[in-house]
Order: sequence, then C-alpha cells, then structure tokens
Amino acid sequence: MSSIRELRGLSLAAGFLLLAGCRHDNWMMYGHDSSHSAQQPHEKTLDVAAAGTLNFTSTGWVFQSGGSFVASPTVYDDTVYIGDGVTGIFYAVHARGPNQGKVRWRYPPAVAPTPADACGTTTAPLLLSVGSGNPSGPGIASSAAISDDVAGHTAVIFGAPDPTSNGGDGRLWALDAQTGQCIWKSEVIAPTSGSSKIGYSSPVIAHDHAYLGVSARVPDAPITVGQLFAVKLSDGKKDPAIPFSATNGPAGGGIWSSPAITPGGNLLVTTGNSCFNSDPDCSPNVPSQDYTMSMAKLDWHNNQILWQLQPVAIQHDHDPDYAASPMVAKTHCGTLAIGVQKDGYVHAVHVRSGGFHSNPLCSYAGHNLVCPHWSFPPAPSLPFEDDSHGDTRFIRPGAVDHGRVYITGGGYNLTAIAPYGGAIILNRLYSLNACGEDDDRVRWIYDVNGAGAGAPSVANGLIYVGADTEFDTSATPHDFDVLADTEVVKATKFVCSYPQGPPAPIPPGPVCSAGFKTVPVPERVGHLTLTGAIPGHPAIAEGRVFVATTAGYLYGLAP
Amino acid sequence: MKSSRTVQSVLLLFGSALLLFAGCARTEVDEEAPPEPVRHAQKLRPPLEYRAVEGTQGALRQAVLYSQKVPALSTDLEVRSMLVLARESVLPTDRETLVEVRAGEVWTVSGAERKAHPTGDIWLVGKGSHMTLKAKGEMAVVRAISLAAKPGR
Repeated sequence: MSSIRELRGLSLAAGFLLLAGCRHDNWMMYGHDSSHSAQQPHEKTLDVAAAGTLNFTSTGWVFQSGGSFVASPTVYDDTVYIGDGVTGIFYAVHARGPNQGKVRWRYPPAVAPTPADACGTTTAPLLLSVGSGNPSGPGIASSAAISDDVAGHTAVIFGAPDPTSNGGDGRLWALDAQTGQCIWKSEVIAPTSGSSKIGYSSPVIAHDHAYLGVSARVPDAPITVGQLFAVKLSDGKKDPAIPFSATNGPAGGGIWSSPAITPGGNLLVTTGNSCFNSDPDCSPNVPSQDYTMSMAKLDWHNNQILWQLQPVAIQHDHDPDYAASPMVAKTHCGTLAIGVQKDGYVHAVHVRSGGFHSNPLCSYAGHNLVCPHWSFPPAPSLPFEDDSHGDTRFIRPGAVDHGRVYITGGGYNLTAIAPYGGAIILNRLYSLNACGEDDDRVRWIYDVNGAGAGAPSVANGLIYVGADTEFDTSATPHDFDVLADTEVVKATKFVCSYPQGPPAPIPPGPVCSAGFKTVPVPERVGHLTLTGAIPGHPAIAEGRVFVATTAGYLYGLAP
Repeated sequence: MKSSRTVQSVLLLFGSALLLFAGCARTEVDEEAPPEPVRHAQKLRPPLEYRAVEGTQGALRQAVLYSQKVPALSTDLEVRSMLVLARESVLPTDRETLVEVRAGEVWTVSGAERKAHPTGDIWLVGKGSHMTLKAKGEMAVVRAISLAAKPGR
C-alpha cells in the first residue's frame, strides 16, 4: 500500500518536473525565449475579456525614465528589467505588489560601491561618449536576458558601453538579478578604437554562453565587419573557439539583431549589408567569404556555416539589411527559420539537420546558398538581381505561435507597380500561414494606426502590438492594440489580401481578382493610448503585459 | 530497510534530473526538413557597373540599364539606375528626366522646396533645373528615365 502511494507520488512529481523543465511564466529574454518566438505559451489569465480591461491607471502602473527605451522589457521573478537608450541607466522595476512601478535597483548605482566591486563600478552611466548614430546608441539598446547559472547567481545580462573604458568600449554586463550588483563585465567586445558597437543585439543564452553580435558604431559610416561573440557565463571571458565574422575582408554583415537558437542547439544569425555599393571606396570584388545580408545557421560547436540564405545578390546590395532578429517556428510542416529583410520580403527556411546544405538553384558565383521554403510575397527565383531591394525599413521582427506567423512585411504591395499600391506600407501587420501554399499564405491583415507597427507578441491567441514611429523619441501618443486571432474571435470585417492601400471593409465573398483572396481583419479586443513610439516586443508574464516606449515610459498593464 | 530508502532516493533524484532535462531537451530530430519545393533555375545577368556621376565624389553613381534610339521621336531613350548616398549631390539635369525611387527614401531640394520621396514616388525633373538628392537613410536607389534630343536636331 505504501509503495503504491509512493509510486503515485513519484508519478505526480515526474509529471510536474517534465512540465517544469521548460516552463517559464517569465519573459526571459528578447523575444521571450531563445527561439525568439515572442510567444508566451503559459499565459491563461489574459483572455479576450481580460485583455479589454488592461490599464496602467488603476491596477497597472507606469514608470518614466526621463530618457528613451528602444530595448524590449524582460520579466523575471516579478521584476521588469530594461536599459535606457539615451541615459545609459539600467533599471529593475517592481512588476507587481505594493511597490509596483517603483525602481527595485538601478545600474550604475547612485553611490559607487565601497570597496570597489569586480567590475570597478562607478556612478557613470553606460554611455558611448562619441559618435553613435541612430537609436542603437549612445546608451543601452540591447535587451536583457536572464540566466540562473552565472557564478552562483541568477543574473541579468545585456550589452552596453563601459564608460570607464576608452569612452565606451562595448561589453556584456552580468548583474545580480536581485541586488543589481555587478558579477562581471565581459572582455571588450566592441572597442571604441574600431568601428563597431553593441547596438540592438541582445544576448541569447545557450550552452553556458551568452551570444551576441556587433554592428556599425555609426550606421554604415563606416560599415563594420559583423561579428558574433560567445561569452562564457562563468566568468565573462570571450570563448576564442566561437568567433564568427560575416566577411573575411571588406567590411559588411553587421549583426544588428539577436541570434536565435535552433532545436538542435545551433545558432541562427541575420546580417546587414556589405560595402559593395554603399561605399565608393570599397573594393569592387566580392569577398571570398560573404555572409552579408543573410540569414544563416551556424554550428554551435565551432560557428561553421551550416547553411546560408542570401536573397539579394551582393552586386545588387542596395542596403537590404537583415535588421530584424530571426525566429524559429516549430510547425507541423517542420521547423522553420523566419525573418523579414529590410526590403520587406519575409523568407522562411527549413532549419534542416546534419551538415552543410546548399542548392545551386538559389546560388550564384562564389556563393553556396539555400532556397527558402517560401517567401512572402512569393519569389519565384532567387537571388534577386534588380535594384528595388534596399533600405526600406522593414526592421521589426515578428512573433510566431506554431504555424501562425505575425509580422510586418511588404506583402503584395512590394511587387505592385508604383504608384498604384507600390507604396511601402510599414504599419500593416500580417498573419501568415507558415505551412500553407503561396495562394493561402495570408491568414489576416491588420493596419496599426500609426506610421509603422512595432514588434508583436502573442499569448493565448491574442496579439499585442504597438504603433511605431522610427527615430521619434517625443512624448506623442501612440496606439497599443490587442488583437484576437481569427481562430479565437470570428472576424466580421474582410479585405483583399492585396488591399492596394489601407484596407476598406468589404463583405465576405469573391471580390478579389487576379489571384488574390478575401481575408479577415482580426477583431481589436483591447486598446490603449500610450506615450511614445513602441518599437519593441511587449513582454507578457503572469497575467500582465509590459510595454516600453521611446519616450522613456515603461508600462505595466494589468487587467 | 535504510539502504532500500537510499536506493529509492538516488533513483528519484536521477529520474527527476532526467525528466527535468527531457522537458527542455534540444533535439536534432526537430531540425529535419521535408524535400524542397520545385524551383526553376534562373540565368543570372551580369552585374551592373555603377560609375560616379561627375562632381559628386561618388555620392551619386549610375549605371545605364537601357539605351535605345527612338526614330519616330528623333530622340534617345535612356533608363538609368542611380545609387544615392547620405550626402547631398546635384542631379544631372541636362535633359528632362522622370525619376522613381526604387528602394529607400530620398530627400530632394529644389530652390526653397525640400521634399521627402519614399519608395514608389515618381516625379519629373525639368531640363536645366537645379535639384540636389540625398538618401534619407544610408542608401537609396532611383531610376531615371530620360528622352534626350539627338545632337544637332
């Protein structure tokens, strides 16, 4: 009898542990987890009714930094972590409870520690003293990641300039999540003596390392060699076995994004443009190692390339960076690596197992590339070799919930003839069917009320997305919407999958011609007006939503 | 009895660790892919050769995409692709030119008027007018279509 009871107990414990092994109600890093799905799989409290009551005035809260948030919030153990892009201060803010919205600690602290800590912490903010360019500087644009295995601490890790080192050498910082004390600062990753910095790239944690990339200190002036670094969590030292460079000669391939981790533990990176056309002084020769403007899978043991997708041939590089981070989607049609390029094309590649992969049908001289599983809009042949692939500002990553992708891309407008629909539309959020045919790719379309749409997040079938105005740090009102996926709430409005401008309500039926289809517009089930543009992913954790704005507002939205 | 409890505890610990690991295990199996969709091979064109427009120090470079005499109109039709960097440069206006932004965004200054042209914008630049161009971001591409009178006409 006793053994039966023990067995029952063991079974229960086993079930719990099996679930607990991967369960995080927190939002542990940029894009929630190392796949950058931007999906909170454990959210059950926020349903359609609760999402409609989200607020920051009664049960929720708002915190003002006095600067600008371009990073996305990270949430762990009832605390929100985020660095300020202008003031160079990193904050831990109480997420709930009697002190919600109040600073739990900040780094650097108001008073320098005595005796000095391992990092030589002062009160100087984490700022680059000279030349930083766009909102990727001068302060902290890198979102934080949580690791519970940093020299015996649970740590919050992010990239930022070191004000005590040559005017802001870029390093990774590991701070104790509870106290804010510095555990280590890494070896220098982006020296100010060079041309790179840690910009928006946010660390991803895997294999006892933190991985992140570097990009140009001043955007494309000059372009820098994109590099991926691995820093050991134990002591902050760079792992010399894992440097990855996007080229072996002329500058190019800056890593503006955060690497993702595939199910097999390998690395997925996206890279920026080359200097082939952007710099008149740049060599007209194609580098023999050209991983620029690419999405690529790297072997985590040695950072060797396992496959590379480069949709635009380097000779036609007109600055179509992969600025947005890639995401890994586990679907019923396989595991896909999905990302949007600045030209507005969304490409999805099968992650693939085994060694090196390429396909001559999508390659060209000096390049061994793979073909995407699909592209949106469809791309019958690759690489592109026309002059329309450039700096068109599709720079926000998406979210994915199994086979349902939520992302701002160019859609069919990209292939339309100007001015009839050829205009670039940056505020149109698409839901794409990752496993459908090209004809059925678009699940629904939603136009965010604003110049652009920020990076979305998804939980419990609800999509959270803010309006974004690039380069705007003013305290202007911006919409924040909660949308119900059409599988959760049946749509009542419909548009053509190629709406030719803002979608107008039309009755359901065969009103689209030329192969386009009538698709639904998802119902908006929650709406708030927040102060400042919302470029990043909202973080969803334990029944609350945390949103950061470029006007320096951090919101804790509660039902 | 005591040793049996110890064995049970060890097994429990081992099993727990295994399950905890299994809950988060990464598997190479998840990376396997179905066969690729069928694609047609494409014949790549030779890359364009962009040359600096005189007097722009490389901030404006162009390549001729298409050039054809049009006998009925006694003109030459020329289509050029122009790369515009984030430095102001003067657009050549030796002929009337239709300009289309193909990628990126362009600032133009003509007289007192400063205007932003997003991708897809089309406008006409008159012969002999003065217009400067500058990429709003890091680089932009414009297409220039000109009808030029034949010399001596």
